[in-house]
Amino acid sequence: MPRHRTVRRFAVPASIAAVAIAVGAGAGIVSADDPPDLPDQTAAELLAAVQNSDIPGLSGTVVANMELGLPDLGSDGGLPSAGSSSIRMWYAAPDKVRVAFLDKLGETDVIRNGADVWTWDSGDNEAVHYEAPAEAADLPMWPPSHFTGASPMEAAEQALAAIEPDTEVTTDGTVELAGRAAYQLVLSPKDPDSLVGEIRLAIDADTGVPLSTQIIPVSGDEPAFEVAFSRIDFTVPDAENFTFTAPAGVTVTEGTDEVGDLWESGRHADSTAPRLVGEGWDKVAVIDFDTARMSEEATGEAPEVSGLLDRLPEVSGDWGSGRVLTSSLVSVLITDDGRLLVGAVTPERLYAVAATA
Amino acid sequence: MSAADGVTGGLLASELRLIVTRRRNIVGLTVLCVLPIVLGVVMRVYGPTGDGPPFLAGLTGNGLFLVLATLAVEMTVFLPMAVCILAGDTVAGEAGLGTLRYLLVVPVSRRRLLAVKFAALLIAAAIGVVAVATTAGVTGVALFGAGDLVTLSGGALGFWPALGRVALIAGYVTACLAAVAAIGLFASTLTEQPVGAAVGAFGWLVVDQVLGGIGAVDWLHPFLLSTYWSDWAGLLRDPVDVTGVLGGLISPAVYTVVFATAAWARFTTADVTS
Repeated sequence: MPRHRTVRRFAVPASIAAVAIAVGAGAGIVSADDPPDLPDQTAAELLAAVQNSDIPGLSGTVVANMELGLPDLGSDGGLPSAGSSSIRMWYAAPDKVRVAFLDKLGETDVIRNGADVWTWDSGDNEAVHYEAPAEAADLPMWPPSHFTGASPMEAAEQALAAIEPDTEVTTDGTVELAGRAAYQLVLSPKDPDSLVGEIRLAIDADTGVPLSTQIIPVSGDEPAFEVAFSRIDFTVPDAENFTFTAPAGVTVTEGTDEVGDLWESGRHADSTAPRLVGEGWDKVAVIDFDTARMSEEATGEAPEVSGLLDRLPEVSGDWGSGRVLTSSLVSVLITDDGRLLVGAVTPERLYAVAATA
Repeated sequence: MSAADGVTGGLLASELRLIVTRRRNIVGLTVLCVLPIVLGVVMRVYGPTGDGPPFLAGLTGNGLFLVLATLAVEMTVFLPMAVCILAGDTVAGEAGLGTLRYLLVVPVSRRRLLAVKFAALLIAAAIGVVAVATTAGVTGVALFGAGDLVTLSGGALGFWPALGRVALIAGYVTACLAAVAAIGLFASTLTEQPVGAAVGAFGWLVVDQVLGGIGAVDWLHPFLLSTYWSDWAGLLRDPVDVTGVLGGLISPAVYTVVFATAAWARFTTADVTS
């Protein structure tokens, strides 16, 4: 019966495809399959291991995923609400660090080797050289968060810094990550206003280095933000990884004292510096801004910004009126009297803060 | 070497001869090879620009970039289309001409016949990539010289190491085309119309690329073929990003196995009447 035989033979490609799809769908960065066998550790022991972690060097690839679930504001919204990015990093000493941001067909690098700091952009074919100021010579550029915004270590440190009496810290077995056995540490806020359901850390059993951080919102089971090593190697990288010689044909700019600015950027104390209201998980940042001045300064973008605002739902209460943006992890309230309130909290908490601050 | 092996070898040789000597295919390959020449001359006359295909900005000083730019451009349409046309011809072409039943009289199993046709297809795809890359390389070096190649990480590679990297990239592209060939081979076993098979296979690839451009279905992207077509960029980094490149080869490997076995399931059990 050829008909039957055809069906039977098509079972071969069908089952290969099914297995491939199943494996592909299950292949998140952190996989809970087949947990490695490790001696039990308490949460406090794990925290101590992280704090005492001291590694001579490492190299690896970091993958970050973001799925904030922001409302769809159209393609011109320009809000980075979802996406994945890859970073390769090498670390041999506090002053020997290289971080490479990978693009599909490009790369941006930041390399520090002693007093020399280089940035390289393959898209512009341009390199910039900075002389690290003497007072910064001993300043560790690790974790490289000054440039990356997030590394697994830095993200973990921030999470650990947030541990306060209103946080429940528990362990949750073991996972295998980037080929290494790791403990899982779970931080759960007890604050009812918090949008953060739990923060899961994977901590390398050998070295105490946090290998991944996942932030899971109250509203779901999937991480809204996730940063993890997909490959990690604890051997000290060769010196050649930290030497940069601008190739012929590349534009080289000599940076002035911008390196200082680089460190200081984001810390400028001016009128728009955020005020922090509240403690722990329900902390809210309040930024005063002048809508008229803003649209004056950003003449080019102003119509777009106001167009964007118009698409947000209007809210009002005894605190005043404004527009609110909600996502799975962050709420933003823009009041009509020129205040911007941001926090990983429910909109109700923002209204309460708006009434008082 | 058994008699069957001898027959298989003869079949492969005649199959390849058929592909390589067919005038339509020669014209097609010529068109593919003209593109890098046009691209190179335009860049030489007007100077490299930042916009347009990637890698053209690096053209000054190293002609091998023309190979990369050409492969990046031709992978969007031309090379997959060419492979689809060749693949559509494999079984459906014989069926359409009425020669398939004579071919099946040869004392070779259908499985082996299909394997020979697929092998010939892969060799033809490799020939196409090598021809295009060589034309681009020669054009590029003639117009822009053979200086150091600047990697994506800002390092410099001498001419020969650079040529090695470019050869590996050509290999990566060929591996991606193997998946296209498998899809085309399967389509070709479904119909007696070679054009229909080619259009069907290429249509699949167009849908694949369109879906790859739609952010709303980004959960689907890891399963698409075209998502990985430019993941050879890891070969241009310092040090080479081996994991990235090998990861990019998983998808074409799975597609190749799935569609090649689907073609086998169909071809070995189908009634051949023409």
